[in-house]
Amino acid sequence: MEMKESGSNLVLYLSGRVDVHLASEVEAELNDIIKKHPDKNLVLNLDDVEYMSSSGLRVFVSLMRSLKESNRGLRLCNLSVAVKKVFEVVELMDMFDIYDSEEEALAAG
Amino acid sequence: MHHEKAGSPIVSALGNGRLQVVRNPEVDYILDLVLDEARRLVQARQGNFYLFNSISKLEPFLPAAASEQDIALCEDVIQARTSRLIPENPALCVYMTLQEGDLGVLLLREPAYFDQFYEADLALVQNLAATFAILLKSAFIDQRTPEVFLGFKSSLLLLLENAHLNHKIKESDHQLKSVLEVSNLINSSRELSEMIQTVLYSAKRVIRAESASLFLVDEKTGELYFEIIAGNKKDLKGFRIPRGQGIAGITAATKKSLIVNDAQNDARVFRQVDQVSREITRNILAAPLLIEGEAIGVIEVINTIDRPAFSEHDLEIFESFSDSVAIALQRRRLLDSIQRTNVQLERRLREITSLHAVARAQVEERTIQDLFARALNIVRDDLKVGRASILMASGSTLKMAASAGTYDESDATPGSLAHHVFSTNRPVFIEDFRENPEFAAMANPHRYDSRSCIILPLASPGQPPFGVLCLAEPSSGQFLEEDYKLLLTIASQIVKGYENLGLNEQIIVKKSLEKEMEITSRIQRNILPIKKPQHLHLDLAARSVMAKTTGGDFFDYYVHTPNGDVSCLVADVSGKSLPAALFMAVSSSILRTIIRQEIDPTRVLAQANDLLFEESQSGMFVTVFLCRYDPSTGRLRYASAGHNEMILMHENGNYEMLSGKGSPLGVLPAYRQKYLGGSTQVRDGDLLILYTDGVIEAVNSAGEEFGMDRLMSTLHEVRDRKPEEIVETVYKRVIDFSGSELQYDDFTMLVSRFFGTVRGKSDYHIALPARVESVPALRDFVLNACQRHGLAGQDLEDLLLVSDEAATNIVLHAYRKEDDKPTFDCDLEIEAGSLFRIQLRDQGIPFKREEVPGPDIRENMAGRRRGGFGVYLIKSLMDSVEYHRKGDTNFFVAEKILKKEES
Repeated sequence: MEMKESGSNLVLYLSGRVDVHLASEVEAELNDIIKKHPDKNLVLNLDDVEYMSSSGLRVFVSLMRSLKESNRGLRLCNLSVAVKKVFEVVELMDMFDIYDSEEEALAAG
Repeated sequence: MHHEKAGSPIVSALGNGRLQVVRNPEVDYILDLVLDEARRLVQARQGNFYLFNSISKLEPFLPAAASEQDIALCEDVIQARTSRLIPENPALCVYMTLQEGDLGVLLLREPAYFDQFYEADLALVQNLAATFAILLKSAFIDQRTPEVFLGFKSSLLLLLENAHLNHKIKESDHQLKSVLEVSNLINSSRELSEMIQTVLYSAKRVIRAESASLFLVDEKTGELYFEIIAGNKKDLKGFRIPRGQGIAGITAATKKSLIVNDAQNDARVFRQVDQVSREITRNILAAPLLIEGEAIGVIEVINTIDRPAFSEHDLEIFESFSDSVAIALQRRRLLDSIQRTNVQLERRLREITSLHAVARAQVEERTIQDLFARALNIVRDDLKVGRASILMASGSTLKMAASAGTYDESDATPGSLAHHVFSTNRPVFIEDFRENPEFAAMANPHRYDSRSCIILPLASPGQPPFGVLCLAEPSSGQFLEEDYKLLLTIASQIVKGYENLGLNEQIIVKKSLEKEMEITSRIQRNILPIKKPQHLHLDLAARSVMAKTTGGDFFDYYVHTPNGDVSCLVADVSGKSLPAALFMAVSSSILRTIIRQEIDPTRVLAQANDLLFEESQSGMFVTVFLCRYDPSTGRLRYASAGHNEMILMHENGNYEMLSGKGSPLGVLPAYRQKYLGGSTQVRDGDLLILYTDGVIEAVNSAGEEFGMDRLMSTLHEVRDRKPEEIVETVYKRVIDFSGSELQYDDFTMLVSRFFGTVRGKSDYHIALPARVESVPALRDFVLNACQRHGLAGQDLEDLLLVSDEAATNIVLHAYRKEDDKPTFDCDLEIEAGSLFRIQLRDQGIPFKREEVPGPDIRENMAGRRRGGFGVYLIKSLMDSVEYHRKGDTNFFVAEKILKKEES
């Protein structure tokens, strides 16, 4: 997974399909990263995510929970229409900090 | 192949009874040729064509040589519709017209040697113009192919050659006439030798000598010889005296008269004369015969009677005799030369006349047989050859093609002289068989009374002969060198005519073939369906490409009800060209009609056979492979009438061959005919491949067939592509393989891919292991199915997400770890623009939807619950969702109403 440090933020670039098949892999990797960077907020750039199922949602929810425990933030940016729709249908748009662009996400904190 | 210049007709109708000669560099060249010839014929300094342009106005061919006055004159000629000879400011106006309309005017001006033109000139040019117009007419009727243009050009060149020969004959004729007049004049005077004899007798009597003689100088040797003797010394006729010797020799050499009075003792006297004549020469009087200062002979009187010696007075008188003799001789020489010229001219005239006649035959005769017959008649009648024949090659033997005079089969037998000429391609000219023993051995001596013959090979330059021209029994008894030369020329004329007619015949044959091809392919085009069938459950493409020499393939398809039953067929009509095309049209419409009424393919074929058997008097027949597909059951029924096995290829590349039984349609009557077919269950994505034998029987240069193996491997390779691409790829492979266009048989192929049904229990089905890897696999499966029905956009994304979520639930929750190789099934029903229905089945633990709470982010955030979003997503995105359990199986069924599509 590609990543970039930007001040107190760590930007991660997710790509491909985020479904049940890959969700646990992605989740493990993300948990690993947040442990290695214990003081960073996380910005997930979903620009290259082709597809996401509720398994992806589940990963983000659990990630947000882990970050909250160490008082860190999770921000999402560059969601495709299809990905955004999953959030909308399950009415999670308000629960996440969602930004149109990476710049906006970084500027927010 | 297109020839740019010859691409348009030479003559086109302007519609008002006028024709336009369409100008291009080639046509201009021809016009130039004809104009030159016309000017030469009548020796005119100026000549021009006035032809109609595209707006029906007369326009000069050579604008530089034209005048307003001439245009007005030509317009008058067109109005009057007749040619004119104009004496003052002399002109020849030749009205050029055809049945189809007026072409224009050929105008000639400024006679080179006379004050005006004559009626004969007008006739000559009219003749030329008329022939030219007829040639244009053939270009008018026929059009467009460069070969016709070539034929036109060669005909024109022949015409010009002909006109040239005609002209030559007229010249020779004139020369001959004047010479004959002179000779008649001379002939009307007295017979010469008689006259000379008379003169010599008079001289002998007047001078009173024993004899008088005339010596002539032999121009070759310079010797003198006795020609005419008046007196006793007849024995001396022809006796020769060496040049410069004897009294006569000296007289001729010095050109002076001589008196020898003592001949016995004079050393100059040539003694041998006396020995021959056994007489004694006593005295001699000799005078030279002078013509234009040259001594052509000498006259002598010998031996004085009743006196001892010749006197000077005798000599004086004698000289006046010598003048008369000289004049008489001069006349004779003149006459001789006239007669020689006469004979030569006559001969030349005969030659030219016959050449002209043969050349005319070349232009006028329309078949090779007529050309030969006419040429031989000319040879017999004009050249006075008793027997003339043309033998044509037929394989390695010669066959009589035409003859004039008596003919004997032996001429054509192997080993004959004609065969010798044919195989060596060398002419044989035998003046006398007795001098040519080796040729005499090849000829039947009884056939050659005159012992003379000429046999000439008939061959185009650089080609082996196609025949021989045999000539025997010349009326003169023996063929001469001149005859041989003339006959060689005639033979080459015959060859030219043969080539020209051959070319014409080829053009005609080619034209008619092309025409037939055109009609055939038009019929085929009209028969073949144009529009691709619109059907949700299949994607069909077909192509039929006509071969050069045949055209009897067709294909057809018919959608019985929208998105319902479909029939499709390929067929191959026996026979060639037009009859095959007509039979194709009949069989195609019969099949079309019956297909609409009868469901069972075998019964369709049986009924079609009944009708076609009645129709097919010519013994033509058609092989057919017919299929009918019912998308509601996935059943494909088929039947064959004498057609090859067809192919049903599955997505994995496995295939089954579909075959039926029964004769081609139109062969056997109904009571003897039974058609058997079969049926098979079509699986989703199966590919039906119908083709005709032209596909697998295409042959490469090594004579190898494209074959079933190459077809199968090509299909295997491209089976995933769209049917259009599959057909194109196979066609391209076949063409690449045979290395050129289709030579012998049509290429026809119809490919259809079948998709599932909507109304049936399942359009698409897949069974997958209940593992997380199966979730993307299922999603791909749904994606493929949806794409086949043209689903896209938000609907597609929703359906993929729902499938994913439903499968995710099964693989995550339905099975416990100890279950052995658990699986789940998926059935899809899709109807584009209408409905998507998904059913998932598993045999896992019972799933109780009502026990699953709604998604709760707080529960999740609190870590008390993971997920729960999937079921909610499914419910939100689908129009109906149902979970139930039957026996040990969990059913998940969800439906979504699809948006109507524009298409």
